[in-house]
Amino acid sequence: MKVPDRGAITLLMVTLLVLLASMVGLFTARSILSERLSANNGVWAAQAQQTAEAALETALANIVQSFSIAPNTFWSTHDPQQCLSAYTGIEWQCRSLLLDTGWDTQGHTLQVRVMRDVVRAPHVALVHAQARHPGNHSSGQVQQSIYLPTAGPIGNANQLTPLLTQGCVNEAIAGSTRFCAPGANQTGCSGNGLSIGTAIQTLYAPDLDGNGLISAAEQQACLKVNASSLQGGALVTPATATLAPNPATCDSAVWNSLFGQTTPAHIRAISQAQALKGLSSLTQPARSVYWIDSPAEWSQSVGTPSAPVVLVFSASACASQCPRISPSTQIVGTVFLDTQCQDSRAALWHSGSVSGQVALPSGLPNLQAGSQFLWLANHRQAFDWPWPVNIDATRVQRVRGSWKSGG
Amino acid sequence: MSKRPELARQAQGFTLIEALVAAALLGLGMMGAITLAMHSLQAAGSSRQQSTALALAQNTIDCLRSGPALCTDSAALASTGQMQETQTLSGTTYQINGELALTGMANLQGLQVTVEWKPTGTTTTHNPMSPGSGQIALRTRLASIPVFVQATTP
Repeated sequence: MKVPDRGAITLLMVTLLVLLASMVGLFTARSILSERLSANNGVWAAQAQQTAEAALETALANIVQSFSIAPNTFWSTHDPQQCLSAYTGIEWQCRSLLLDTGWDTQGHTLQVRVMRDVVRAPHVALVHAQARHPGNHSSGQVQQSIYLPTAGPIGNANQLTPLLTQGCVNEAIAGSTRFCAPGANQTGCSGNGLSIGTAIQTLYAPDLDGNGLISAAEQQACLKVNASSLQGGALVTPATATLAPNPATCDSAVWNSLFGQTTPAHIRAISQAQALKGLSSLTQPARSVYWIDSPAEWSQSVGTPSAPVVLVFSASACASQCPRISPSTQIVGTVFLDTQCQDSRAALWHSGSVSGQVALPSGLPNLQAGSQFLWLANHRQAFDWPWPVNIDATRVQRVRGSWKSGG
Repeated sequence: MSKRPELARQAQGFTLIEALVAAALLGLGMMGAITLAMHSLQAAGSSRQQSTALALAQNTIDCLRSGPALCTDSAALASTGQMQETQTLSGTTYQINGELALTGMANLQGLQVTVEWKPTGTTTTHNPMSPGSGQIALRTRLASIPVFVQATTP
């Protein structure tokens, strides 16, 4: 090797070393930059998540306030665009919730949606909150389910009879109606004359002799239904005298025994929500709650043994007389007539064919021929929504374990 | 005969100049690399501090949400509306401050958790969330809505 070449080689080697060091430095710097960006993104994501949490908590507080002021108006609207992709079935009612902007959202835009299943669980709402930052493209979302006071537990008092009244019953034509009491295992009526359960139960029978007891004769005088109609089913009256239902202060003993803590306002609101959603007997799932204000005769067959319905003929529908159910109409579920404790409003009534239970806070005079009352054990399924035992259903409460972050 | 030593001298002279140039280049290059490495170390330290501070802030919020049963600080927060805590991790001291604020709704409170520390190096920025700022603030809200807990028999 010539002496002058050694200098060039040294220069080349040094240049290579410098280049190598520069490359190592650059890659290190790039790695550090990525780490820094990642740390920043972590902060933005945490901030978005906490803002979404704040939106959820604000929404819950707003819902509590809404239900304390006007409990039956919260669900008066439906906006299908607010339903998340997993909740687009016809049974899902969705709405947005506008939050006050008087707090620091740190540049995030907020979206809060509230969803509920109006058939299976109208008392449970899923609240979903999302926070997005348009600048750094971070977003956070969180959801939680809450119990709403839009219904209540049905309670334990369940009279096992296809007809529950608060007054006397008699047939317009003896032997022209049909009652099918619960069978031996209370699963349904046999209809073969071998039934052993209760065909008719009244919570009030007149104490004609005034001795404080309801005798067999007084029971027969109150529940005058031919044995052939009863098909072996029993008649039940209170053993002792009770106060006669007073139209002026009509109590809700029959309603309470049937619906428990669910009020007429609850049923009405859920019926309206199901109608708003376009549910009918033909949809899947089918409509299950009907609040009827019209005095017109009811001629629509609704309900199935696996999906019974509840029909409430309101005080408005029963203003003069409760609407009859057409003779050929079949109802599977529960029928309540709000007669306001007046026998006259249920006079000459026709039940069609009801598989389940008919209940009314009065007597049922001159029951029309062809009326059929057939027991169905799960007739309350339409309004027996799942509640935890011993819950105070009048308050908004979080559903334990339902909190979830992300979509 | 007299040309040979002269050439050798010339060649030695060139090698010395080349060596000086090489040393200068190497020095410059190494200086740049060392400066870059220093900045990188400083940035890495800042990012680590920021990540630690973020974890502390999130832990504090989660803890305060859980209530006095699981978080001793929440008792102080509930009584005075403020809590303070200091933690030293990997040589850095973090000052954690929690503060409750009214929102105008009786069953809703604002909660802000701020974590402060002395950042590595001298980098400063106006963005309070950037690694060099030495501060992270997370804001959220808490609604006092009960969770239904079903009573069970043992």
